[in-house]
Amino acid sequence: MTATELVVLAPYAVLGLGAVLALLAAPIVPARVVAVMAAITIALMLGLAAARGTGAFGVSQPMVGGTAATLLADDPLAVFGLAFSGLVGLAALSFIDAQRGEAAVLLMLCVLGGAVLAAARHAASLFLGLEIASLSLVALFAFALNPRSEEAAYKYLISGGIASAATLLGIAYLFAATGGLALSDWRTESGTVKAVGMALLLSGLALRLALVPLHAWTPDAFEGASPGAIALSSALTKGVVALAILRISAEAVPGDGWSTGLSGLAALSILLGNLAALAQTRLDRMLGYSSIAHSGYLAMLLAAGGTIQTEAVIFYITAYSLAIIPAIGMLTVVGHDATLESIRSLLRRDRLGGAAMILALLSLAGLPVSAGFMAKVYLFAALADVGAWFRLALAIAGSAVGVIYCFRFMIAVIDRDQGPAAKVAASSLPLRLTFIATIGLTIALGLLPTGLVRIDGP
Amino acid sequence: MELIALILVPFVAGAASPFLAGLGVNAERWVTIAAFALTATIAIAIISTPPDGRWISLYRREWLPSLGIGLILALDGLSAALILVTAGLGFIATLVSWKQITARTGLFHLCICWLCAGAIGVFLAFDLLLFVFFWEAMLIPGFLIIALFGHGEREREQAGMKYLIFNATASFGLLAAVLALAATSDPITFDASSFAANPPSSLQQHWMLAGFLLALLVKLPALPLHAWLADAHTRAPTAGSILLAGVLLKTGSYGLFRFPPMLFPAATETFAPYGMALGAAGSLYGGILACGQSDAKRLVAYTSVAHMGLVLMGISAGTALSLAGAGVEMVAHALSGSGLFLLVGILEQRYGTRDLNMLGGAQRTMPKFAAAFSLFFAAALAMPGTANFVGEALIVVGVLKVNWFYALIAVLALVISVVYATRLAGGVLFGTPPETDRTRAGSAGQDVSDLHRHELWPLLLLAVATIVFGIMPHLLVDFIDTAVTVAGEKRSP
Repeated sequence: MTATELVVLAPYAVLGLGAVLALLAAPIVPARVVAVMAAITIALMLGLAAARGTGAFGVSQPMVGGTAATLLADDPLAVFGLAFSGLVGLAALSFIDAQRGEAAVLLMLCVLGGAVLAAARHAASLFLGLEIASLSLVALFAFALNPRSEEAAYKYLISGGIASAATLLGIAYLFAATGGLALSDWRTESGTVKAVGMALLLSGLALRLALVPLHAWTPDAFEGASPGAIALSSALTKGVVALAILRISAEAVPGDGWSTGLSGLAALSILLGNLAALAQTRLDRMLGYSSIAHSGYLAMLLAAGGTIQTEAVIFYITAYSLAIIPAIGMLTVVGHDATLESIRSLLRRDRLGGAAMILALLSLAGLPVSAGFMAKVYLFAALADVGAWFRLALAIAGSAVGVIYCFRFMIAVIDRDQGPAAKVAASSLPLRLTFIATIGLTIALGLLPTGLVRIDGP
Repeated sequence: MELIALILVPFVAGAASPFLAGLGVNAERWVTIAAFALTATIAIAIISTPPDGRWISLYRREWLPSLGIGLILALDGLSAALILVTAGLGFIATLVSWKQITARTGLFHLCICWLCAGAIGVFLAFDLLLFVFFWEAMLIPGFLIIALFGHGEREREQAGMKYLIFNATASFGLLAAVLALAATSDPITFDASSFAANPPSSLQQHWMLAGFLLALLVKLPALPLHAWLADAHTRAPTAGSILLAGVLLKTGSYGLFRFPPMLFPAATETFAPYGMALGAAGSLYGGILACGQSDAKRLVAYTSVAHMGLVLMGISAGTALSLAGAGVEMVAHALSGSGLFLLVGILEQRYGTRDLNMLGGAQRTMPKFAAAFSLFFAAALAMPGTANFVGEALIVVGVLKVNWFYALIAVLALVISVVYATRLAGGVLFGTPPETDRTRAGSAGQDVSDLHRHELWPLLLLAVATIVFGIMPHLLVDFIDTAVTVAGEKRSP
């Protein structure tokens, strides 16, 4: 192993080792200690990733040759994937179900899977990353051990199993067509077998993005699973799958059918997600359908291509995660079955949480001064850049509908006159920190998005 | 730098007001008032410096270089006039709500300040994406003022949603058009002045103009996109109606004045006859609907549709006279419309009703109120001596140079304005005063209080401005002359 390989692989190794250690410790130490171990491990991983990104170890050349370089990319996008997975993981850790220490272990595995997926440049690492992330999610979904959470977990397990099978079959087709398993091996071929393989691969990834018609698990997961698991399944896996698709598009050159299929799925998701969200009165289901719609916008960006695509995707997943995480975190405060009525006058009952919720809804709706507005600008700009006028019109119509349902919930949060008088449960210190961090970052990125967008594409 | 201060001062005051409201000494009201006074002072200080060519003041720096988005703020006479109106109306809205809004004052003043900050941003922005940014930012405080502080539990929320649905949908159209326009530039830029040199092809111009018009005509509001206005006005608190009529509607006409002639000269040419037709239809339709209302506030709301129809006609006609008239009318309607909403709000507060069939006799019970009402009634029907007369006369003459038929309709709209204004004045000022609790209880003499000082000063301010610009219109006309010339010649600075 060369020094470069050591530096590049260290963050992944730390996560894996930390997860194993925490798993061994979980039966004998209190759950809180396991959570702290997870936080320390992820922080260490983030530190190593930052050191790699800034070249602090004196290693600035990219990794070339060797097994590791075949499996994992070593570029700014991969470092961003590490940072993104780690930060989302930390935020989700602040409100994960902490009754049992194993939840924190599963979360670490999920972060590891996400980071690998974001860096994968080989069929093996792609599939492993996907499976590590989604199998730990299945267990996390079921963690509350009540009928609704078990339903959510079963749905995700079964549909995820089928999707994994499709992914594997797709990889097999691609291997048959090209004789290679690295993404770049698939580049030159352009026959029917490759197109079929790519379509199967895409269907496996689209399920994790919750694109219509592979979205059915999402609303039930939002309704049944514990908030920490929802945050991971909506913010983390969606973000890294988007990064993986970005890399596949760049390295494997999947052809026109791929982007046509992706934008078709995107259009369906925007339509169905927004229209269904309009009818919801439960907060969790509204967030679920709106996450389908946002996956649609994201997929539209991924299908668009063009010069600002990478920048736009990175910004979009960051802005979306910053919005959806506090909104889901609020579910632990107001109760999982919160409705339009029960969150009335939330701002009066919980200042910080209410403010975080308002800003989150504003950002989901895509209005200034939140990061969501800049994300909308990036989305529309990327579509206008490639001249996709019909898709642009659809994205606009979807955004307009999005404003309506987000504001319905927002006005309920601000309204003071009606609504239950009961105080809400006080949120824990880590959750409050998460709220403060998301509020700060959402406004900062809404005003000065430049800090984030200087990352080169794959 | 001082241009940024114009936006930042109200913004900071708004951000501080929820914290100040906890102090309980009306601190948030005083700070809001001070902020608007400071904004107006800064604006006056800027315009008293000699203009530097096209702009009185120009500020330019990078914001998002990879996307070509800059922080470009530009101030000419038209923007300066509207910014002064905004600061003044923000000031007035704060005074008026002194007694009317007593709960959640922190949030209320935050909304007022941010609404005005957003509007000032719209009047200043010369980078198109910055324009959209402020345009959409303005949406939220406006929505909150209607939906949280309005009248009626369910109705105010519905009115707020209606306002939101119309305006949010339309503003995404604007965003798309701006991005499409920017996509034609290479390297990508949103600087409005760079597009005038190499405009997009004619077909592109038409589509992009459609996106702009969607947002601008909803805000204006022009027929048939006006449906949100009456409910929003009726349900909003008095301060909200004042800002809606005086500030929000003006952002629509301002955008129409500034951007389409410069960015899309060919498409604006195509749109001109349709714009005049829409304006004419709006002024007739708004006027006729106003005649049929018995709710005083709804009546005034429909007069806004009528007057803004005239403004649309003036801008579409595109002659120097009609554009100057539209500019004057924008300011004049901001003053007179807010004045009437203020007065109707007072009526509602005193009598608990806005129904013209119930009201009456104000000239006996509230003489000062009646005097103020007569003045703004005169302004609404464009009596000579008020600024409205100057604006509407210039529009009619300007339109006549292009098309005699629409000029005739504009005159007809003026005739209708006499009908509804008379109906309003007759219903409020004359006849017998409605019974109040105190008269029913048998107390003699003055049964309702006349204007008190929180109402008197705002009305005086509006009245003086209306009359000064009515008698000495050249003050305003000369001031906005550069903007008028540029828009008339359909060229960039």
